[in-house]
Order: sequence, then C-alpha cells, then structure tokens
Amino acid sequence: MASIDSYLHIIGIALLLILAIVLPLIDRPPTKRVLSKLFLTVLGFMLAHFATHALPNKLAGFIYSSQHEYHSLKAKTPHRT
Amino acid sequence: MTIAISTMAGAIAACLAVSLCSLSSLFALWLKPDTLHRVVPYLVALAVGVLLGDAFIHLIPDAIDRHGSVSDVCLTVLVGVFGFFVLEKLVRWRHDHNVDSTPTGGEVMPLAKMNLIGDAMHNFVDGILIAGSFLADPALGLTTTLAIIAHEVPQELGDVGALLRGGYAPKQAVLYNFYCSLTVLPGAIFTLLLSQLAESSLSLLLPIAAGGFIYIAASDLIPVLHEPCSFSSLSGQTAAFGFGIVFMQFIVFFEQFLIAS
Repeated sequence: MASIDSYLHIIGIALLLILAIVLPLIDRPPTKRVLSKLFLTVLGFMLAHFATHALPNKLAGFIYSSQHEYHSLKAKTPHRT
Repeated sequence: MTIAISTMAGAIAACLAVSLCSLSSLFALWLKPDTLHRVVPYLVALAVGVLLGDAFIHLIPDAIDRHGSVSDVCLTVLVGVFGFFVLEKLVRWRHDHNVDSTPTGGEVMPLAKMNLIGDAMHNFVDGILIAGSFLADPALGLTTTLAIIAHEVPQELGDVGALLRGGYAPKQAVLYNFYCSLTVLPGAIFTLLLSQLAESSLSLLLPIAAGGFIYIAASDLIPVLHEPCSFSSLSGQTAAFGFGIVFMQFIVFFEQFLIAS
C-alpha cells in the first residue's frame, strides 16, 4: 500500500498538469485569474513540501543511511543489517 | 464507519489521474481544420464502437454480476434508453427546433449535449467504482484505476469526435469533455461518505448509463456515419467501429490479468 505522502504527491502533480493544460484553453479572464492563483498555490505547496520534508528526508537518508539509530527512528521495527 | 485518510487520498488521486487522461483528446486542437474535418467521422465511428462495447461488454455484465437478475438489469437498460429518448426530446423541444443532422452556424446539435450528459453519468459511475475498490483494498483500487484509464482514453477521443460533429468548436469540445470527466470526483466522494448507498446505487446506475450509451450510439451517432457514402469512409469507419469493440474486449482481458496477478 502506498503511503499518504505518495498519494498527496500524485494529487499535487495531477492538479498542476490539469491546470497547466486547461489554463490556455480558457478565454474568460476572471476564471483564468482564479485558476492561475490555484496553480500558483498548488505549486507553492508542492515546493514548500519538497523544501521542508522531501529534500531533508533524502539528505538525512543519504548521510545517515548506515546508522542503525537512524533506521530505528524511521521504522517501528528494528532495522537489521 | 471510519475511513483511513490514505484511502481517501488514494481514491482522490486516482480520480484526478482519470480526469487528466480525459485531456488526451487535446490532440484535436493541434490538427488543421481540414484534417480535423476528415478525421471526425472516424472518431465518431470509434465512439460508436467504444460506447456500444462499454455498454455490452462492461456495464451490463457488471450490473448482472452485482444484481443477479438478468431480466431486471435488461429492464433498467430499457429505462435508460427511454430516459435518454425523453431527455433528447426535451432538449430538442426546448433549445433546438431544427432536426437536421448537420450543425449550422454555431448551432449545437442535441447529440452533443446528450453525449455530455451520458459521459458525465459514466464518469460518476467510474468514481463510485474507483472509491469502492479503494475501500475494499488499495491494490484493487490501483488495478481498477488502471482499467478505467485504459478504457477512458479511446472513449474520450471518440467523445470529442462526437462533440465536434455535434457543432462544438475544438477548444469547447475538449473543455466540456474535461468538465464532464470531473464528475468522477463527486462519484468517489459520494462513495467515500455513503459507501453502502453508493454500492447499492450501482445496480441502478450501471444499466442506466449503459442504456444511455446504447441510445446515443444507435440513434445519434450511427445515422451520422451513413452520411458520406464512399468506399474509403466505408472501410475506415468499419475499421474504427471494430477497433472500438475489440479494444473494449481487450480491456476485459487486461482487467482479468490485473486481478489474477
């Protein structure tokens, strides 16, 4: 089963792709403005998540991957090497 | 009953992926008007094959599996055909007094509006199926989503062909088709909130959607295919019609393979 993080990433990427495709097709300026703001909001959330969670997690994984304590913090079951 | 947040997120992610696939019809915007004009009859033929294939190969057998009674399901399919007939009569009476099968001067034919209604209903049912399978098991949810995406792509291509034939501009056809695909989300949310009611409503919604597809394909789209009578249109449209049916049958094998693996 995929984690909730993976699902949220898919939701964010799908929303960004949908908005990026639909925006050029819409002619009405008010609708276009609202959708542009929505696009920027979703993009902002995705970037913020990447900068505050995904990237630090990857860095921590890269630096401490050989440390037993790090794995025991990450997983409930003890990590055996 | 409490539903895990990951199940809800999974169902919503799957629905958005299905909606995103409906934008595959975007290619219609890149074609030159002359090319598009030539391609549309073949897309309509594909739509006929896919709609009839979806109704007879997927929706009706699925409804029989759920309901158990063949005669009840057939009666509900007939109710669907009848309901769409009445709906079309109302649309024609209210908005369209011209019963000509060729759109004139920006006029939108009833077949296009009927197609949008049928597609919206079908996508609502897809939303129920996606969320229902995610509630049962996330792995089953993934396989159901893959199967729905696989049949969604050719169907959306055919639907856009029908909308273009019905008088919509290419940009409008793609956008309206996308708006209809968004009904997958209310379908999923309805199921996540009221799973038991949604499950029992499927035995009614599936045959009604099938009836709608049969009505649209047989009464609105097939007569349109008879208009250009040349050998190339005969062979090309027959191939597109057949391809639509074969593709929907292939999806059944694909579903069985996914469930088995």
